[in-house]
Amino acid sequence: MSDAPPGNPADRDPLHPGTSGIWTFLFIDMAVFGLLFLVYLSERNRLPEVYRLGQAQLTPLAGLAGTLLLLTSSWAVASAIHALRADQRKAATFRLTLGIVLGLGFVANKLWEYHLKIEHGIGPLSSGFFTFYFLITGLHLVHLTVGLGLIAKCRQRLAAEAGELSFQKLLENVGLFWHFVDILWLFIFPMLYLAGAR
Amino acid sequence: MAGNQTKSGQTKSGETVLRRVWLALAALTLTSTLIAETAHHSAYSVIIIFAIAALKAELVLTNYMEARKAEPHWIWMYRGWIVVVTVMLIAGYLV
Repeated sequence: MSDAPPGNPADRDPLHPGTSGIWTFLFIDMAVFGLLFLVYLSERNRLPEVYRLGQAQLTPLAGLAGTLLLLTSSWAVASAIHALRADQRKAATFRLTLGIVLGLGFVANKLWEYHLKIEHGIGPLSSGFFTFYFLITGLHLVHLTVGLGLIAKCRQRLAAEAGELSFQKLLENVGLFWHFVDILWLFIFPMLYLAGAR
Repeated sequence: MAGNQTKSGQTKSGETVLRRVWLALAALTLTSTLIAETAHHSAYSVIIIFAIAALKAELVLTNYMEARKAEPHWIWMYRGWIVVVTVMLIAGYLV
């Protein structure tokens, strides 16, 4: 009988990014978003003109700004994890702060976009397209806000817990969640703002 | 000491890769926006726009998420998702 604690050995391997549980969780969440995209496409094919007109009312530059903010935030968090592994605590803290600030920039950009739409009398019930627009970007925004809270919590605990494997795993899990939010947006942006809008 | 130097060297080269990947991601994002804004809706522009999204997702998966260091099945599961969603989006916009 082994004395080793039960569970996946990968969860105790410092070279394995995050724990096995986060990879499972994110994949399930991705599958749910995949289904949402499928329903959107099905409705878009039923009423192509309604969706094309809805897409034409979005501002691609706002979507572009959000994408660049999120990609840069993702880089900052990935870079913070590298710094933590090298025991560069100040650099890791600074990069997590940068990741949070850029993430907040994405939130501000998205809220500004919502404000402009509502100001023009466009809401989630204006058309089928805008139902999907508010639902998909809103769900993404909820994920992003949760991610920001988790990064902020890690930043707060970093000084005291850096050097512990459990903290490294925690930050890697949070980083994986953040990059997953990024990957979702990499598809949402062209799907809603770019393809078929003209 | 030597261990620290090795660790520091690995971090530096790792960070150079992260920076280059960020540059590539930003350039690809600008390219797809430019294509969408200048080209008329065509099968080619739809395919290119979603193929660029798939390439960007692959770059994030392998470089930022370090999927190659995770248990081997995950990289194929996540790549499978990227391929399925990309094909689905291209088909959905072209049908």
